[in-house]
Amino acid sequence: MSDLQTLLTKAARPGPAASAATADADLHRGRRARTRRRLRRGASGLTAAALVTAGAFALPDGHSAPAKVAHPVSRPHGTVPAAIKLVAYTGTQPAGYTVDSVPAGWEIQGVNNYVLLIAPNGFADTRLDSFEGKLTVMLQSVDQTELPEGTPVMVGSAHGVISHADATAAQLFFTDAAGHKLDIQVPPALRWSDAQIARFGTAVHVNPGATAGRG
Amino acid sequence: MSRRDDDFRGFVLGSRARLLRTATLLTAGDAHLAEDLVQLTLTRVYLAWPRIRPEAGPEAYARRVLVNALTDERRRPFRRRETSHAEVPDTSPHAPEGLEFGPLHAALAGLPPGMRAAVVLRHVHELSVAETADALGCSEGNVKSQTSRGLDQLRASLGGDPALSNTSPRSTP
Repeated sequence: MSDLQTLLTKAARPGPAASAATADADLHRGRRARTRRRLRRGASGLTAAALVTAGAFALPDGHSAPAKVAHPVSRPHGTVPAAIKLVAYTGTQPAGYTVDSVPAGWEIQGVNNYVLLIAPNGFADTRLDSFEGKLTVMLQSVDQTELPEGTPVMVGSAHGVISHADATAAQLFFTDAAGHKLDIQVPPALRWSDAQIARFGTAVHVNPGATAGRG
Repeated sequence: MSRRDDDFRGFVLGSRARLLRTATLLTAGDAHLAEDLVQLTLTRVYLAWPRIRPEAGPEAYARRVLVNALTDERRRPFRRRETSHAEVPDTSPHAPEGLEFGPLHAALAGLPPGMRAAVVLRHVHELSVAETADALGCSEGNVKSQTSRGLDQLRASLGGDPALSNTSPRSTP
């Protein structure tokens, strides 16, 4: 080592390349972080915005409106639960979004200008900034610049994709006729096929005032 | 696996070793902390992947994230692992690998983190003053002074070996 520059350069020489297992572990950490961020998305921004704008988008009871389910599902005892069916929604429509149908036994739990949450009747977690286990409708993040990847589906006449990259929720991305870029997160509890997810996509309508989040 | 995941995985396979070695220098040879920082850095890079401009390059972005992660780490009082000493120890307290660099790591440990980062980015990665300033979030003048003082301290710590005075900074700004 003739000089300090040489010493520094030599010390910086990389070791063996990362193994495939190491790369997979890094990828796994990244995916988990993305899932956590998605589930928390709005923990700061959405909640703060909701506090400011709740008056404009709150449902009549201030938090949620029960879905009036037309055809509740009955399951034979001892059988594997089937996918939860969509039923017509006849309750009060939220301001930011309109829905034609909801899963049987589920209700609109809350809404603001960023997100519409549909959850099983009486779902314990009623936080508007918590999406886990809930059917979540929102506009795609303004920071999401890439075209999401997934299985191509048709949502009515619109082209969409469904991603199953995260175990906590399938994600349907599509652009509606008015140009709204929708992001619908479907929890595993619904046991919906891609076709059923796409069908729900056609039941969602974005009203003026719906706002895309960040992150 | 999505294209994003494929691209990211390829980036990890191609760049992780360099990032880890950079992290090892930035942490003055603390291999465990370096690994922690690289994992944190790569997680943040994955989250930002769609927004990283291809022309800027994910590795440059990752280096910046790495420096920020180190800064964050230093701000966590319960995780501070480095302490100041009047004299540089004979060998690095860390560095399970690359023992030949023990004295260098020990000398780097004697530099404040910002000064150490300036030296590493300028003289190891050969970033320009402007690029280093951008990565460190400071002025170009600060980079020049930090680098100059850092090199002086390294030479002094490494025993004033005349051969070490032949440090040759890159010629471009």
